[in-house]
Amino acid sequence: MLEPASMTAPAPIRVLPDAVINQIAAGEVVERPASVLKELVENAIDAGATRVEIEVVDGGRRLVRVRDDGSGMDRDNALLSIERHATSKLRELKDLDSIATLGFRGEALAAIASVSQFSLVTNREGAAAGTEILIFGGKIQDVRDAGAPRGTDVAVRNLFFNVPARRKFLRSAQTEFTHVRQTFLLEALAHVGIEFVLRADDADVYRLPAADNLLDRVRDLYGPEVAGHLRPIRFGNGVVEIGGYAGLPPFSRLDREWQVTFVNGRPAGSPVVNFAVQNAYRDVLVGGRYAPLFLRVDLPADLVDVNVHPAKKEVRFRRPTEVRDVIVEAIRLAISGGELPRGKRDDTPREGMRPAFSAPPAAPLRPAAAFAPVPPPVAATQPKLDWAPPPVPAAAPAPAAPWAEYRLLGRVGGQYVVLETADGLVLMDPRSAHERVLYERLLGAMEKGQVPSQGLLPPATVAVSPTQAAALRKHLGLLKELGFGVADFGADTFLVDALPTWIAGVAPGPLLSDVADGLLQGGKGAARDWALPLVADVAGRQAVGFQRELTDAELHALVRDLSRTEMPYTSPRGKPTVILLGLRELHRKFGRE
Amino acid sequence: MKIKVNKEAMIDCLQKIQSVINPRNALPVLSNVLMKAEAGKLELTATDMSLTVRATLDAEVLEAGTTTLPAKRIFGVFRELSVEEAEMDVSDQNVASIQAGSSYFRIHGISEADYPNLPEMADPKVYVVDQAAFRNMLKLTSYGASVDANRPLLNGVLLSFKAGKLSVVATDSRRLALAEHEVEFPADAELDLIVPLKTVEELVRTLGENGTLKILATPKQIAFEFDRILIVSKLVEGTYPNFRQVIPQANGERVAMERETLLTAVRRTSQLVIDAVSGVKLTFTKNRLEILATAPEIGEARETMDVKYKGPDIAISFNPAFLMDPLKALTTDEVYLDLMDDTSPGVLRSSISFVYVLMPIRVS
Repeated sequence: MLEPASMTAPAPIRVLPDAVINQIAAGEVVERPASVLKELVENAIDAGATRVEIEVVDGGRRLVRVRDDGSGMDRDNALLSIERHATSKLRELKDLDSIATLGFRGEALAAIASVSQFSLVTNREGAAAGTEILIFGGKIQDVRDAGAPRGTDVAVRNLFFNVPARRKFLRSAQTEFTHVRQTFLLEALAHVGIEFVLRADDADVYRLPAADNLLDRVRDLYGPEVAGHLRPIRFGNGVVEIGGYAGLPPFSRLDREWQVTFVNGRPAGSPVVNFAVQNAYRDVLVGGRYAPLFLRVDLPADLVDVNVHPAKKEVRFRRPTEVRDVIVEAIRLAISGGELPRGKRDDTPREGMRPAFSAPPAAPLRPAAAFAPVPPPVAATQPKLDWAPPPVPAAAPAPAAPWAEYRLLGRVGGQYVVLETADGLVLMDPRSAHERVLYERLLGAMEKGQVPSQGLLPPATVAVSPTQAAALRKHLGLLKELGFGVADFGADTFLVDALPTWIAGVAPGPLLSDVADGLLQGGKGAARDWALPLVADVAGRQAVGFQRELTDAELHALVRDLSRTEMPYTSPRGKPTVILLGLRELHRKFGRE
Repeated sequence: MKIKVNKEAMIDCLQKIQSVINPRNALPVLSNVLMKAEAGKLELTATDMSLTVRATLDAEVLEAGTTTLPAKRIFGVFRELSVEEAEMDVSDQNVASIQAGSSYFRIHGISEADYPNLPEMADPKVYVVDQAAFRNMLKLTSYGASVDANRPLLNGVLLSFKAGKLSVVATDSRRLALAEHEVEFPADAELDLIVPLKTVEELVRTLGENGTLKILATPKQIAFEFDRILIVSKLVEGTYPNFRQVIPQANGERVAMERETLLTAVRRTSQLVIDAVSGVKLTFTKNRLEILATAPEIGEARETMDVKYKGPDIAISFNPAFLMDPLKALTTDEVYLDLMDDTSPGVLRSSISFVYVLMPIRVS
């Protein structure tokens, strides 16, 4: 008779052999070739490399090789480096609180070596001979002298060859390579002063010369179009310092591929950062679209916990609210001020073009001066200087307008407007543009506490549904702040005796009804925050002139008004206001370089 | 149909009617002008279905008939003719052959059977008014009409025939313009008619300076007959807001000002009002007016002018465009502004029968 399994004698507890421990650790640290690459590259960088050459074969499944020109190791150190928790970076537990180098867990090389066919060749400056170590599945096969240049060359072959269960989970070479490339991009962006080469299956994928600043690296990686639409971020509160570049909405994607965050130089995400970024772009981009963003967050090492995620992909902040607020402010300052970093441009007005500014440009609406931009700190915890944006001349804040002067060419489909600018062609959606203009006017007036309100002749009585009436009653104070003269007349009827000046020409009935519907749907956070875009949106829908074709004079006024806004590229609800078609792009489309 | 017409007369008539044609209409025949030749006359008609304009000119009719031809093309052809007279021969297939001096044109038309008929006007009320006076009343008021398509009533200009006078009113609920004129009509012809703005604009363009105008009205249609022109328009249906209740009964304090001086002063200061709606502030002190426009990030503009005023100091803000509109339309030398306080409407008057009520802008 068979006994139930639970009745069998318990297996004796055994201490796991090192090789198994390493394999288990490998499960945490090494997921796929990309994670191997990450560990190796960070080791190379920690060794002071100025050039890192990476080679992968078959998406990294057959080979991941990283060669650097860093300090290299002598034989003892080389052997130590492949022992579990052997690390030159961590001696006591308290050191964990002030981790400033990139790789620190000490288990990486040992783990990788335990699940691959591993070779390491390393040499120090001036040493007679280098060391070569060969390890198969965690077992040292050979340690011998080898002639080698200064630096370290690690090759990881046939990852998981001895762990079929994990090898099975590797994806196609193409998918694995996508991950490899993503890791490469992050490292290349994090260390712009280092020369990087990525070769895949014997072909060059990237050759990135050492760059002076992030912008050059971004240009090398993503092309001039993306780089041309970035604004430098420089803001901080003395503790948390934010740097990098924020993209402008004409460029956006449906995924976060273009959004990269570095916390103390380490590529890392955090829900706090994602939330802050979304918040900063909330009235600029439609939900679900992401602008290019290369964000650097620097803060004292004791305010961030990097040891949360085994693969170090995520960090935790000790003061999340503060970090979030500083990030939001930093990005909003960046995308609302300053001019696009562009190449040389012919600034002489062209014949027949109108200057978009007939008066000196308005200063930013926000009290930007209250936060003098702090240059990114050369953090004691962060020896890399590469991130500092190129110095910006201390000129007066330039308008964010996508054109300095323009010519009105005409209309498409009776709806969209075509403009010629010095840079090419601009298509404008008047309704979105109008929403943006209204929104910023209301916002500006509200911030000054002076919303001009046009009296109505005679006051209108507006009847709404009971639910609408409840919403209006709840927000009467807010409506007054927004410039509405609305009074409860009883029986779900309201007396409207004034409207915000800029939308005073519209019929009060439909306007109030739409506003009530918007208030009913609500939004996130304080009513003030979402009520403004709501009013702008409703006003845009109701606005005079958008049921017919705008006259030239109205269009000129709109273009001028839009060019004066802080964020001329999108409506407050995130729809694009303009589509820019640069001459460069036109030349390319016509095959003229 | 076969006619001989004078080039200039033809151009003159086509100019008067073709602005009615909607350049983007769905029915091709509506891009055409209806031509009817009969008994020494040629009638030209254009319509957008709501508004129809007909002009008549003398022509030598060799063979009576009717057709429709593309308005823009016919106009272009006649404008470029090198001789004074053209002969037009239209076949039964609506193909027009135009011979003028050494030029020859052949233009394809569409059968008049496809062209909409002029609406019937059964038992209309009839009014006779002076052309020039009527045109002036329209000019004095029509700028005040709303252009918001959501408010069809206010998109029109009200012609109110009541108590022996014609009141012409336009408002967009921020200002209201009213002009009045004595007109004789029987008591049973007291009517309120709301005329669409497009029709008013057409009238302002085509009405002459001399002679009278005959207005025929039914509850749904209105027709204007003058010179050799007939304009027939749909009316806006509905009841116009009671404009009398909007005009303040109490007069308040009266300021007398030179119209031209005020207009230019407001125009100058409003240069700084970037969005044309932030308002200019008018401060009245004894015999003095200061007009101030400020734009926080741009600067300010200040004008002072002499006025006739003895009341207490008063300051009030208006939309400069709304203040300028009546000043531009008026021709009198002096205007009067009646003010109560900074939140009550200002009332602008002149020596003629004209009232303009303007709501101030207040800052909350």
